[in-house]
Amino acid sequence: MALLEVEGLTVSFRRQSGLFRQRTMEVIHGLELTVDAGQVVAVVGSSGSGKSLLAHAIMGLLPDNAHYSGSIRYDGAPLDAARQAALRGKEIAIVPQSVTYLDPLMRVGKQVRHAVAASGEGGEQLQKQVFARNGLAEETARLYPHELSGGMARRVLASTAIVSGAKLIVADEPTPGLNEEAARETARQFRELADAGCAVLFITHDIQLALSFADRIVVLYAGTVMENAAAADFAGDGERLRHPYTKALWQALPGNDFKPLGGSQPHPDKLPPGCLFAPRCSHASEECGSQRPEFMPLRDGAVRCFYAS
Amino acid sequence: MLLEGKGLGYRYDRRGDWIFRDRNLSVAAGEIVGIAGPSGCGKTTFAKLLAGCAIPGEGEVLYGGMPLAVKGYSPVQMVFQHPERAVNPRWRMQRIVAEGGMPEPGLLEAMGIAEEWLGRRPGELSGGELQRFCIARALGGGHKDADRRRDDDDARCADAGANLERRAGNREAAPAWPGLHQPRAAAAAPVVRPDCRVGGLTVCCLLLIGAVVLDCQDVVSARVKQQ
Ligand SMILES: Nc1ncnc2c1ncn2[C@@H]1O[C@H](COP(=O)(O)OP(=O)(O)OP(=O)(O)O)[C@@H](O)[C@H]1O
Ligand code: SF4
Ligand SMILES: [Mg+2]
Repeated sequence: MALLEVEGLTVSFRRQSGLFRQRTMEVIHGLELTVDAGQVVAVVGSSGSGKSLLAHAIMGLLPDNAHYSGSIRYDGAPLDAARQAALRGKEIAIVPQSVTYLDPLMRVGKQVRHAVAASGEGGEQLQKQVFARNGLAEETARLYPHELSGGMARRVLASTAIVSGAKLIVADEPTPGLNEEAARETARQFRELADAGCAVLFITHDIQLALSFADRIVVLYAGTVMENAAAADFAGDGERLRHPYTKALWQALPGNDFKPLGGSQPHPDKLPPGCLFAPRCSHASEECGSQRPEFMPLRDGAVRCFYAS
Repeated sequence: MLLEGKGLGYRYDRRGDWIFRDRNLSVAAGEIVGIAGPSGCGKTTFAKLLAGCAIPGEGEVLYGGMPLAVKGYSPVQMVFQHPERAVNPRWRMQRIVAEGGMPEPGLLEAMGIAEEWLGRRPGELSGGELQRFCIARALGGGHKDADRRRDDDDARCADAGANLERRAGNREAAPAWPGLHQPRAAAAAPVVRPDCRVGGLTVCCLLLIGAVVLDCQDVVSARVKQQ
């Protein structure tokens, strides 16, 4: 059974527009995904596609002016605000995208040891181990966040989640700014956690990195999932992939055609009436321009496209 | 030579160890220079010296042959690795981007910045969206109008650890390169300068067109190069 189940997740923001009017802007629409224990599910998608908001919705960290609907279930029961608060940092942990999440007034070694304490085990040993594994010198433990380089801050954030003992880990872009080997090492550690029974949701821009260790790839576009595929579907000419956008992403990789996709993702304020990908899709028909396709299961995965086969 | 670093050395603590010493680098107009090295070796610090965001412990930085002014608008702009640490979290984007002088028409659009975002605060944007603003700010009209005095340097140099106060309502953000989903693929090959060695290593962030120091691993897209 899936440890994390997200169904029909919709997130919108209320904004003041003018003196008396309020406007609602929907940024995530009908999003679905599941993560099993033992699985790494990678979420890929371009900037602004809703990856971080998804992570924050799961952790209960959405800002006050955000409104969300749909269902998020953890371990078979709804993950409501009370449960999120109770489990956060213990059973469910996040590696935040922003390095400003580190407490600026606490030495980083102590921050990592605190994360260990949350799961009730002896801290110092684990902190030392995780620092060594992540190429952080022993002295690093005594530094404050502002004394860290950008890449060191990332590795400290990842370390915090790694030692937390959480059963569900949501890692929001934990690798940018790391060199390839360090990024792979980070990925390896999340893989090991999954192999030991964790559920890992790994958010990244780096499809190649995701493919190297994830079980499933969830492709986000303009706030919704376009495709849910097995990592193994990304092979050859991409003939096993289900959605035109996923195929385009695959073809844009250097080892493949290196063919960039023209156009850009629509802004949440100006979403096309039909399929969100229609303005850039070479297969778009009239129907695509007026109707929004449902997210449908297909060949051991799922896709949001009228013509997927 | 547009930008020159001569014999640069830096240490955070006046009696501490040097992070690096005797580093030299020169960038000609129109040239792109990459600086690489493992995490923590001093790439960002080196870039901060070149951008006038930190004062070298030894050596000097010359811009157009003259010492780089430390006060006021710097003709050398820096784009930080973590955009969330390089902006004032309480300001609206309109004000943040205007710090670099009014951007030329079309720049915001070319950077994929929606007009509606100008009214938001940094915490209300995704990481990549925020980084686009930081790049637009660095490319803004200001460097063509170098006399313009900036009254608020610290927001830009917040990275230096000046902002120890814990910010309420901190949210997300990232050094993701805008719209660049396969960083390695889209990376423009930086001109690797073997004479520039930081921490005994070669090449990091990217010095762009002699006026902007970009500190992202995910180097640069063609669009920005044309600016
Ligand atoms: N507090 C907020 N108020 C209004 N809109 C917001 C807020 N936070 C995020 N958004 C919008 O929601 C959309 C999704 O943002 P999100 O941060 O999830 O993107 P992302 O996929 O994580 O992008 P990146 O790769 O750049 O980090 C964006 O269009 C963003 O502008
Ligand atoms: S529904 Fe139509 S426009 Fe959308 S991806 Fe499929 S073919 Fe393209
Ligand atoms: Mg994000």
